[in-house]
Amino acid sequence: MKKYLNITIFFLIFSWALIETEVSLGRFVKGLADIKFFLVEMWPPDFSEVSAVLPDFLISLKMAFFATLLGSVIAYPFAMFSAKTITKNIFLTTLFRLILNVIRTIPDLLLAALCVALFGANPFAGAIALTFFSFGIITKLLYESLDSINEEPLRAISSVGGSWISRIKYGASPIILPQFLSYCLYVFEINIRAATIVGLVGAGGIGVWFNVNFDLGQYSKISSLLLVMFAIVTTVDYLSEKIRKKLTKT
Amino acid sequence: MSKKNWIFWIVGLVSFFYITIEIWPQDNKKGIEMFSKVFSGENGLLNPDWGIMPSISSGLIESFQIAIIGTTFAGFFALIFGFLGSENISPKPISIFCKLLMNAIRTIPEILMAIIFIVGVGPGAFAGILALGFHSIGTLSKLTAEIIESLDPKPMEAVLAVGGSRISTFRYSAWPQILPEFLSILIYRLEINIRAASVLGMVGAGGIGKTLFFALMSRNWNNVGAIILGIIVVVTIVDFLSSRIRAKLV
Repeated sequence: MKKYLNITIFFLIFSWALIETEVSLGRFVKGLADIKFFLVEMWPPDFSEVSAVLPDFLISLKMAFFATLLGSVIAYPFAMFSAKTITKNIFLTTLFRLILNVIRTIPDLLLAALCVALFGANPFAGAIALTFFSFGIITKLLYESLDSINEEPLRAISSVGGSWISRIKYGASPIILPQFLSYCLYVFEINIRAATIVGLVGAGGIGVWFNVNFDLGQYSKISSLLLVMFAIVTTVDYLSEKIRKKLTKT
Repeated sequence: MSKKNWIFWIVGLVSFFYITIEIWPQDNKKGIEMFSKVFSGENGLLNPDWGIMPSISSGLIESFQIAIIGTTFAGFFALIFGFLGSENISPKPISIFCKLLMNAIRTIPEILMAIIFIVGVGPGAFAGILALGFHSIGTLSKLTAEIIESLDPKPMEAVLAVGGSRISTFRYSAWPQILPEFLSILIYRLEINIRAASVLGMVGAGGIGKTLFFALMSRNWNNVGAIILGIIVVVTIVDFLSSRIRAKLV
């Protein structure tokens, strides 16, 4: 009975949303002609400009690297403050988790747009936005795994009078370090993708060229950019997955 | 710490400083002045303007609708592609082809897809739905295929052993294993999509992003502050409900 109630509620919400947003198959089919024109224009990809924008691809990579490194370095102590096993203070951990939850709700493009307003339209703005974003994700992943570590070594350290710092240094860090590095690599993968689009709001990197080529209607150049992006993302994903498998094995 | 680790850290730090110097903004001398302007003061982010609450709430509702329709559509197609892509059910060439296709789809960021669909169906919520839907098919299919690949074969053998047909094998042993995990990743995807839907409007694909874009362009920080608060509230509610439902499912 409850199952049917849930399905009905979902169906009601879904149809309300469908009506309000004016989804129609007819419009989609009609639009297909325009999308097809767009896709035809994209083929064949025009690689003539790729060498010219290669520095901006590199900037995107650098932004992702910068953000992952800085974000993870800041994330480490914050995760320690938010982990229930390390910091034995419910008030403190709850407060930190609350702040982190709020930071994580802000989408990356919105952060990027804000940073552009603060630092101007340059890669630095994008890098700072991505730093915030990676900080949020890494901290959450890290404190969740810290919550589930074996507490006995930690208790042993506390019982001989070890401080908060020594609990982290000798109790938690040796266990958590491989996982931490694996999360950093995972976030690096996400950052590579994000670093290519923050340029759409002016925050530097290759995204700027997507905007320029869209405005100029040079769709064949867009497809060449997409292909290079696909190659970079796939390579990074592949390498990172290999390293992560090695990390979690040992 | 071994010698190899030290080299790793030194290389990381040196490249970090190198990148910092390279992307450090040169033409932004008003940085600190901008900070105080954007955050505090009468026109700052921290002094949100509640007067535009009606337009914010209608934008947020539209973002929610975009996310829920996009996710549902993607879930429907992901079930099909998930079965086609799983190595243990579909033939090898089909499964490899499906996986490659899904990887390619996942590389194209939602925001670029939105721009493509705006060309087809015009600006508005529908373009956003299509963009989110297509992008989510990529990720959801991959996860669905992984669920199907990790099915426990024993219940299926049991149904076969008592003379069940292929359909009843699926209905009584495979499907009950797949459904809870599938719903769980679907709801998790909704969390991600609600964030994405709130920024899609920045390129014209409907939702709160449109309001946000105009507020950012006119540097109306009071409105930006109110919009960010709205996004934080909605995302937090969706996250909370989603984690409750997922905890029940698995």
